[in-house]
Amino acid sequence: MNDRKETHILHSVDKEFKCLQTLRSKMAELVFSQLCHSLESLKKFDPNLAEQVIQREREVNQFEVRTDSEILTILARHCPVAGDLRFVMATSKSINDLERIGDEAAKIANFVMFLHTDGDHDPATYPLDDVYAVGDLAITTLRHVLQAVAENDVEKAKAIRHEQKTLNNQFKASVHRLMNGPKQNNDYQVSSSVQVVLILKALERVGDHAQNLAESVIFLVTGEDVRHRYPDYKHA
Amino acid sequence: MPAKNKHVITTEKLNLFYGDFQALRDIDLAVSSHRITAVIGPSGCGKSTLLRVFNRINDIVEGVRITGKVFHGSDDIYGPDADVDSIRKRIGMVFQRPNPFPLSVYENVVFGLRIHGRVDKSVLDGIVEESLKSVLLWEELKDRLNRSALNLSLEQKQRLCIARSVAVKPDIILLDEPCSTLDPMATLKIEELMVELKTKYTIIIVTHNMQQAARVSDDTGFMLLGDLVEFGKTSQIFTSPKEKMTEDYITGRFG
Repeated sequence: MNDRKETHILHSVDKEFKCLQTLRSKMAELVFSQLCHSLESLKKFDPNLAEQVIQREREVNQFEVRTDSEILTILARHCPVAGDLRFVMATSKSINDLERIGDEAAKIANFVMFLHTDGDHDPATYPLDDVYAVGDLAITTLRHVLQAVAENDVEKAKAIRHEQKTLNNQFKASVHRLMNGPKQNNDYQVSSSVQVVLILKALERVGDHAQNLAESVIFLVTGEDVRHRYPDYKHA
Repeated sequence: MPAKNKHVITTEKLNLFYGDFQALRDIDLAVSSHRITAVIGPSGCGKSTLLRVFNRINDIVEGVRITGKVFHGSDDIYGPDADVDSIRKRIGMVFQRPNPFPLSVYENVVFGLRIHGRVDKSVLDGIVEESLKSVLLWEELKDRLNRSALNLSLEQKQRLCIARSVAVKPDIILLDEPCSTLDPMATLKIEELMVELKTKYTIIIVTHNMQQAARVSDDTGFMLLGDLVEFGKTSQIFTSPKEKMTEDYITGRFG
């Protein structure tokens, strides 16, 4: 499925692979929009949009269930090998990462709902500036990696490592600023800071999943497993 | 017997012609000891021809001409001093259709030994037991050794043919589509037998069944139109083949 023009002699294999590819693309589109909408709902304090994200999370999960079912069928019926096997493996891992990104988007939406229902405090008092900046980085990274996935582009996939590191550094710097900012002298301030750290962590995880997606692209196209490389690690 | 993990069969620029037709082209291959090596490829690609080169069965085909070198260990199989009987004793062969002789089970197993001059009854008895045990037939047939081998099931017949090959204590067993006439369960049992036998012998199998090659072999060669397109570890060939032709063939895009 490496953008090769040749078809399988058994055409039903092509149909099943195409179906799998389509499911992954649709799921990727949905997950991207979930992340964008969750951050938009936070910026605008829009509970309706947040509620929509929470509702559509079920749709994301259903994509995972359906895709897993398609993968099981393909493995059982066609025993794929070589590039076909790598495609199935990479898709299976990608779906898992997409579902987790969907979870992170839902976390952000749930936070918006919490702000909405917390009538005692003004949402504008939450220290959210860093969240918006990290959120923009997460969206950009996710957009780029989904392009790499859609185009099986190894170079774009390799570039994600840098974006993920930038996102990670931004996350650490944001947490550092929160911890070292003005002294938090009441329960509300401590609670709001913890909430913000959790949202930042959710966005940092999006970067990790984007990196996983990028590694799947590299594995699919080249057959090389670039995960968890430790130059000083000696295999038993 | 060549040491373990050394190359037991090596070919250098091997070419084979049936008259004007070239069936093998510049084959360079090194088969490792005590491993199962599978040769796959479409019909007519030369894989059975290659297998038959190793114990010189092609010699009996009229008009065959071979160039290049084929070594068993350091012995030149096609050298001027090569002893064909000795080669076929050290490199046994099992064919597609189980072909026991119309003799008893016992006489089938000792057939090769008798040809090679072994007639001592107590020695032969020991070898029959050992050979049938090695193919997991002893318990089934120990009380029926004098009955006709033709009454056995297809799977038992194929095991008996392997036992007949094993009885002369070869280094290498060549299997030419050994499961093509067997049902799936019998096929799996023969595959399990191959895995057990590789601890004692080197096995080279020609198969159309790519899943069989993936299941049992350690190394795989893909042939096309007389060329050895790619040779490598089975795990590599079936996950990340280097050659596009291999990829297209094993994923069913060929043709």
